[in-house]
Amino acid sequence: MIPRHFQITIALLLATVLISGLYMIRIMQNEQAKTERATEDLPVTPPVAGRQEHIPILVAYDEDRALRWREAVVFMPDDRSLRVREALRAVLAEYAQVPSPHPLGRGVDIKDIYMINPETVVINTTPQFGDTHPSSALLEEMTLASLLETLRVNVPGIARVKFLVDGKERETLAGHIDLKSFYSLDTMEQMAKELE
Amino acid sequence: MRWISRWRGMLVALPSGCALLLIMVGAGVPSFQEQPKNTQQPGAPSQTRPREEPRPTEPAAQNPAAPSSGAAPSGTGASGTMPRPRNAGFFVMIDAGHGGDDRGAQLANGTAEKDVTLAMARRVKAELQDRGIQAHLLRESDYSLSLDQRAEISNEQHASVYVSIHASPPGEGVRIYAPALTSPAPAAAGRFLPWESAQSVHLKRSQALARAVSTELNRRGIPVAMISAPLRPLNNINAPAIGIELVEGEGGREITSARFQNSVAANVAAGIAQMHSLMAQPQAEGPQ
Repeated sequence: MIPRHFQITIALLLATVLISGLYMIRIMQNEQAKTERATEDLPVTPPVAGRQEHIPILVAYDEDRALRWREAVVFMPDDRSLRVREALRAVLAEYAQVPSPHPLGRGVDIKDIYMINPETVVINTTPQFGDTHPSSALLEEMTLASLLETLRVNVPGIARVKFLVDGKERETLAGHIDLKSFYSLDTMEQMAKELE
Repeated sequence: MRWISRWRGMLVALPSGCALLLIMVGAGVPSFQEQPKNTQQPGAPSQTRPREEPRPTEPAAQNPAAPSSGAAPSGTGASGTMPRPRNAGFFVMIDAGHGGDDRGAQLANGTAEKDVTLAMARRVKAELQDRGIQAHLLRESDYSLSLDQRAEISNEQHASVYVSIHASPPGEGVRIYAPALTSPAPAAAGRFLPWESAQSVHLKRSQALARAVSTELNRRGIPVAMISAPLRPLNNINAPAIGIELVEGEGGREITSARFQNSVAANVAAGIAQMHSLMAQPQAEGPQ
């Protein structure tokens, strides 16, 4: 016959082992999530030099399928092409958060900005912009509207914009909305207002 | 003696077994050989539309208001699925989005958007035909068509109305897309328009059509949102054009249900029928 105090001790030890194990699993999960978030925030290019500015950005919210203006604090350089890149990155940074108001997938970024003339810009994105974007006409339109409206407001003078994905033309963003044509920012303003 | 009786049994059983085997092989082999000849992978890459098929005999241009007597129901007959010859009167071109390798959005329970769009396109076609309006499916089964090909076929056949069908999350009910040009349309040079803005001469009619369909859906209590968007290939279509997107709600139950699809199809057809008199009016000259 095992003494009662011995039984209680073993039971307590087993409970301690179980609780410690569960606690360790929880800690590991939290650390993994932190690492993933840190990877998302890693800059792929050196930060630009410029004044810190509060800029308006139009953010898409999938939950209520609407676009809403928010304020972001970013370093805005004087160079126009860099201003375009930083304004767009401020929007993409919102979408890269966990949880995201409008998830686009990992690795979505602006690779290059080509100023064809003072009014016309070609934006080259990473392949993930087209490859990981959810396939839905509404979500695709919300993505383009939020990027183009943010651009219109923060870099005045730009009238026409075209997107490339990894240096190539693409028919649609993710199967629905046109990505091949040049977008007139005035035209896009009217479309974005429908979604605000 | 025992050995003899056993061998006698074998002598009788062996030829009978062989004969039976020969009969089975003779009857079975041909039927197995016939099947693989016509078998085709449903998702064959870049399979083009079978445009060289013999054109089925169709009645001459029909008054759209008159009921189509003896029309093949719900797209089962070949005559119902082929595009009409050029200038053959008012007809609706229904384009089931995606197809073949392009699965479209991944819906609940692993359903592909391309399958939902094709099912819905067939229902819309049947509803239109019930109302005496000629309708044709641009994509009749599971094969790939580029967006430019879709616009090209519709323009080549001189479709009176073009309806593109999609299905995707998130939300509920139906979204109706009216075309929106990405840039202001340049001035037309004679009878020609740029491919990117071929829709420009039909924008008002397209918006009116989208409103008519939205009103019909609203009347039946189906949640509907009307949006202007550069949905491909609406801007390349030389006819009034709209996009219809079935929206996958919570749990994704409704979007694949026949009841929901039939209800939406009936109201889409009612909207098109309501706008028919306006759309049948002579149209502005478009790209050739």
